[in-house]
Parts: sequence; structure tokens; C-alpha cells
Amino acid sequence: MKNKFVYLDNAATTPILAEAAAAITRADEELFFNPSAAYGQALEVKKRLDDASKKLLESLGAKGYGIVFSSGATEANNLIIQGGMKKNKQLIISAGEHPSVYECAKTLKNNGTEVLYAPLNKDGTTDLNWLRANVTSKTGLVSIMHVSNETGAINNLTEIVKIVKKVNSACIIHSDGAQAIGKTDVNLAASGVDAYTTSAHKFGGPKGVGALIVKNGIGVKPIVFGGGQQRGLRSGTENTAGILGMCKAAEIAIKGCLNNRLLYTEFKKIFLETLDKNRVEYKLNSCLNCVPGIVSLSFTGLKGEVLLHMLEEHDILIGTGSACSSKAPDNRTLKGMGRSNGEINGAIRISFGVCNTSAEVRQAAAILADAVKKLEDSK
Amino acid sequence: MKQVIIIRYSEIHLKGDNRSFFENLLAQNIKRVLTGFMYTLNKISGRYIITDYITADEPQLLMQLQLVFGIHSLSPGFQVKTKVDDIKAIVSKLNISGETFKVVTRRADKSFAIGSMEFSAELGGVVLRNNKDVKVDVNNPAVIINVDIREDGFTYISTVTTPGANGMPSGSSGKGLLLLSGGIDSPVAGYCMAKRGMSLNALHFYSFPYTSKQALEKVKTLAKRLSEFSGEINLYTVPFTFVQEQINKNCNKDYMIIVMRRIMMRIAEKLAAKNGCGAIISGESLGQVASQTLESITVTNALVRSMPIFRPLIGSDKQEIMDTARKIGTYDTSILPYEDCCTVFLPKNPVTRPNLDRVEKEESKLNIAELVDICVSKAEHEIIN
Repeated sequence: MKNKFVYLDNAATTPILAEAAAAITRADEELFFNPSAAYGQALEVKKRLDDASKKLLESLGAKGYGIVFSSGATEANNLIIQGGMKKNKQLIISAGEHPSVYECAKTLKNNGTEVLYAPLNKDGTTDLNWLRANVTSKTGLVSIMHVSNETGAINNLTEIVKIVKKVNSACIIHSDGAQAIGKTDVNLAASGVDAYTTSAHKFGGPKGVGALIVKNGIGVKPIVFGGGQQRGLRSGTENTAGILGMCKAAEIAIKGCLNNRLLYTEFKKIFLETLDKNRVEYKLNSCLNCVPGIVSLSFTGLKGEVLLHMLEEHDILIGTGSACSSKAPDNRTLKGMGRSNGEINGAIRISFGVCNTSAEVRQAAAILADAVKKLEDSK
Repeated sequence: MKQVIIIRYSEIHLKGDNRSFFENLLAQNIKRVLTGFMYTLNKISGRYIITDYITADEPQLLMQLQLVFGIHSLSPGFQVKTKVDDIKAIVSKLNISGETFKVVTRRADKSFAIGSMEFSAELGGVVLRNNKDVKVDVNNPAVIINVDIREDGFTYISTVTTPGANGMPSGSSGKGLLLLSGGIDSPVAGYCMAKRGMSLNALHFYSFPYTSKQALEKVKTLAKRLSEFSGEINLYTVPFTFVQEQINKNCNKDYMIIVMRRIMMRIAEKLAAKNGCGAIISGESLGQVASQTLESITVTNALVRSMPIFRPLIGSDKQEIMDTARKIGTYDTSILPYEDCCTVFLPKNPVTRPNLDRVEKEESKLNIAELVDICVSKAEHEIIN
């Protein structure tokens, strides 16, 4: 893909992969039948969906799991939290969760559910000692993201499962994996998590489709009611084209994961070295063990959003660590990691994708360095 | 019998010889908000009447008419030939069972033989005969049946009266240039002046890359909403970053805001004069922030000599301004979290009591005339409607 701009905000969304786009077009043209209909063409659609689901589960090491396709990660997270929580049970989420988990938990809390927030370590991972000390027989569901959308920090799912199940084997363990596929290895059966969220547009698939992958036997109640599709867990005619596009993108992203990791590690190195060469001071919020595709860094005393726009002037698109505000900084993750207000306001997020090149990354870092110097000079 | 919407004016009826000027403007503004609907607009003495519209459109027509300045109130109702039996036939069909009511007859047509009080009583009898469980209550009725006997040979009957936007028809009080920042106050200031009949031009200063393109879009959304009340707005957007950088580089930082605002005023005055505006409109409210103290306003005011600066919110509390912003539908846009140019290079301790000599000394470090001319020449124009 050739663009006039350099896109370094792949954690927000990715451009669609050509293979996924082709799968969608094909499905829209040839497989438009309602899979619930009674004629043979519908059965063909259903088979294709079942095959794609099976392949996706296999590639995620999800033996013994089922899949519920949704409109994206937000719906999948809502389904497991609202549909998996039982009455009078306690919910534990990490302090750095995406709003689709955090706000959902807040709604339950407002309706009387006890919600505990597992604090973050300085490196952005969840404090597992805290979890060990706080999970009890009362805990009904633990939701801790696999990879942080803010910093790329990876939580150790196997360890989380071990800690929780030791105390409470009935507790549902969910992980929001929206940022994980294609960036780090995912093996659900090996980790033992009960439910896992994915989102197609984060790994080269289309927007508006995602999935909740649930271990067989885990009790989840639906939150969307209607025609009873997807075993009654998510009513509504299946988004055939979206699902097939997602499964195609997942196949490519998972196959390319190791290569991408090496590529992004190289990009991260080039990016930081270019900043260092230009003698720009920054504080790295992404640790060494984070996925290399996401780099969060703070320029204390500057405004992340101003840097974003200065790069935008050069057609380089990045993310900020905090929504623009002259008031209180609002990044829960960075705040949870103990970053100062100045560090939070001055945070930006660079996230690489398969379309990027070393030259683009070098150029972006050099322009960022100039922008930082210009802002420093005007202080 | 015809279904109608009765439009009553506010201040226009007080006007003398030039009354028709205001009435014509009001008609133009009514036509502007009803573009796309099917209807006929007629003028009778002291009223406009809308007829021949699709019944299902009535709620939307009423909503649109509530945007028009100069309208005191609106009533959906019926038009019937002024004949006693015809009027009674309409009144007999009104369904107000279970309510308290009174009939109010206005007899603009003095040739109508029956007195107002007497006719109201007669019609009251008709209502009592045709509805169950109704009671007359002249002091606090749930329903007032208005029977308006006009000189055009028709009587207008209505039971619901909706307040209008009041004020004066847009375009009846000249044209003003509104300083539109994107915050809560400036759209409200624009609304207040438009309510007094002023047509609006608007001026926005933007500071990309210190502010986002979304911030500029937000200002256009606000201008669009204001234009629904005021009519077409000429929006001028001026790139201001280089001016702020110049001030930041050359002047004492504590004077940043006051110097910046004085340059904005100079640009506003020039653009206003160039585009036929007779006033500058600002959303300042006394004491709200450092640049809105009496001393700061005095220093910015001192520059503009060729036209008045209208500050309709000067005596309003923030809460009052926010309430109006909600009422006119600008609040939710104004609070979107995009910074405006005023928060860029914000000093820690801005001067709150500047004196003119000191400010002029700071300004002497800049080539102000050149900066102003560059800004005026770079202003981009867009018609918002």
C-alpha cells in the first residue's frame, strides 16, 4: 500500500489487508445468503463460517473453546462481563483496562456489584502480588487485558490463571486480547483463560467485527436477544463477509507474528536511536518486555497532542497518550504506572504496522525530534 | 375550515411607520426556516398565518418557527369564516374532556355583533355540552380556548400556545462580527445579538499545530447552529500560530494573553470594516478570567475606535451562560475537549490588572501592523448556512 502519509497509529486501527478485503468482496458476492435459511445455499454459508471459526480457534490454540462473533471487542467485552458475572459475586479488573472493560465494570458497580481494581506495576503490567492477595471465593470474574493498548505491556495469562484458580476454581478468567493477535503468541488452552476477546481491525481485518472465544462449559448469558443465532449467545444474522475477512486477516497476522515482532523490534530500535542521536530527552513508558509494535514515550512539560499535530503537518500520523486537555490528564494506564501529570500530558504513542518501512520510522523520529526541540525552545 | 399555524409577533407591533420593514424581514426569516416544506404564508393584521401544509409536518413546522427571532408565540389551530354557527361548530368538536377550561374571545373585528364576554360565555356552553367532566375555571384553567376574531373575515381558534424566540427579526439591526472561539460563551453572545436583530459574521483564530483540525470543525458546527437562528453566517478563519510564536519569543510571557487579545481586536476591527460590519461582538463576562477583568477589558477596548464592541454577557454568571448554551443547543459542541487558541502558550501568571503603557511597551517589540495585515490577508472565508 502506498500512501502520501506515514501511518504510525496501528494500535488505534490498521489498514485492511488486501487478502482480507478480497475475502470480504467474495463473500458479499457469493455468500450473501442468510446462514439460518432452509435452502442449500444457506447451508453452504454456514459451513464456510464453521470452517473459518474452526481454523481461527486452532490457530489460537483454543482446543475445547467455542467462538461468538460480535460487532467488535467492545461488544465481546460487554458480553463476558455482563453475561458472565453472577449475582452477589465480585468483579476484579486491572486499573489499565480499555474503556470497553472499565466502563462496563463501572456500570455494574453503579448497580451494586463489588468491583476491585488490580493496580499496575511501574512497567505497565498488572500487579500479580496484589491479585494473589485479593482474589477470594467471592470473586466471580477476573478480567485482565493480554496486551496493553497504551504501552504494549504483556500480562502473563498462565500465571494469572494459576493464581486465580488456586484460590477459586469456579472464577471466570477473561482477557481482552484486542492488541495481542499478530503482536505476541496466543495459546488459549495452554494459558487456561476461560474467555478471550479479539477485534479484527487491530490486525488487518475489517472494522465492525470481533469475537469472544469462550471455553466450553463456561456459563455466559446473552446480552443481545433475538433470533437465537450463535447458540443464542449473540442473536442477529451473522456478518458473513466480516467474519470471513477477520479470519483471513487473523490467519496472516498469526503466521506473520514472529517476523512482525522482529520487524517491529528493529523499528523500535531505529526510532529510539534516531531520537537519541538528535539528543532529545524522553521517558519510555513501554518496557523491554512489551510488544515491540507499541512504543509509548513521554516528553515531560510538552503536550502530546501538540506533538501529534506537528507531525501531522508532515503527514506523519501518531497517537497521544492522553486526550487533549488543558485540564487534568486522563490516561488511567500511565497514571496507574505512577507517571506524573507532566509525563502524562507529554505522552505520545507510536505503533507500527506491516505497511511501515525503516525509512519511514527514521524520518518520523527525526521530525519528532525537531518538533520537540522547537517546543522546548518556545518554553 | 382550515388547519393553520397562527404566528404572533413580539416587539414589531410597537413600531411606527417603518413597521412594514420589520414585518417583511420577519416573513423572509420565516420562509428561510421553512425551506423544503409545503405551505402558504399569509399576513393579516398583527399576525402571520400558515396554511395549506401537510398535517404530519405540523410538529416540525412549529419547531422550525421557534428558531425565528421576532415571533412572540405560535398556535396550531383552525381558521373559520366569521359566522357564529361556523365558530360554534369548531368549538363543539374540541375534545377537552376531564379538563378545566375557559374561553377567551378577542374581537379585533368590531363589526362582529356579539360582545367578547358574552360570546365567550356562549362558547363555554357549547364546550360544556360536548365534553364530559369539564369545568369552567377562569383563574387557573388547564385549557384556554382562544377565539380570535380578525378583520380579514376569519376567526382563528386555538387551544395551545407555544412561546416563540422573541426578539427582533434577523437583519433588522445591522451586521456584527462575532469573535467565535469554540468555547461556551461566544456562541451565546452571538445568539444574544442575533436575537436583537443583528446579522452575524464570525471570526475564528486557529493555531494549528497547537490546536487540532477538530477544533476548527467544532467552530464550524457552532456557527452552523447559530445560523439556524440568525440566518447565513460569513465565517472568517485566521491562522494565528505565527503571531503567538512571535509574542512568545519577543514579549514578557505574563503579557502574552493581553497582547494577543489586542492583536485579535485589531484584526477583528479591520475585517469587520472590510465586510460591512458595524460592531464587534465578544463573549466576555466581567471577571471570568484574567483577560476579562475591568482593567484588561479597558486595555483591549482602548484600541477599537471606529465601532462599538458589544459584550452581551458582561453581567452574566457562568451558570446563566451555560443554561442559555444548553437552551440554544450549542453547549454539547462547546464542551468537546479540543483546545482553542487562547490556551496555547498560557502563562503561569497572566497579568490581571495591565496598564496601557506597559502593554504598549511590550507591543513595541513586535511589528504589529505587519502581523495584523498578514492575518487579514490570510483570512479564509466560508459561508455557513
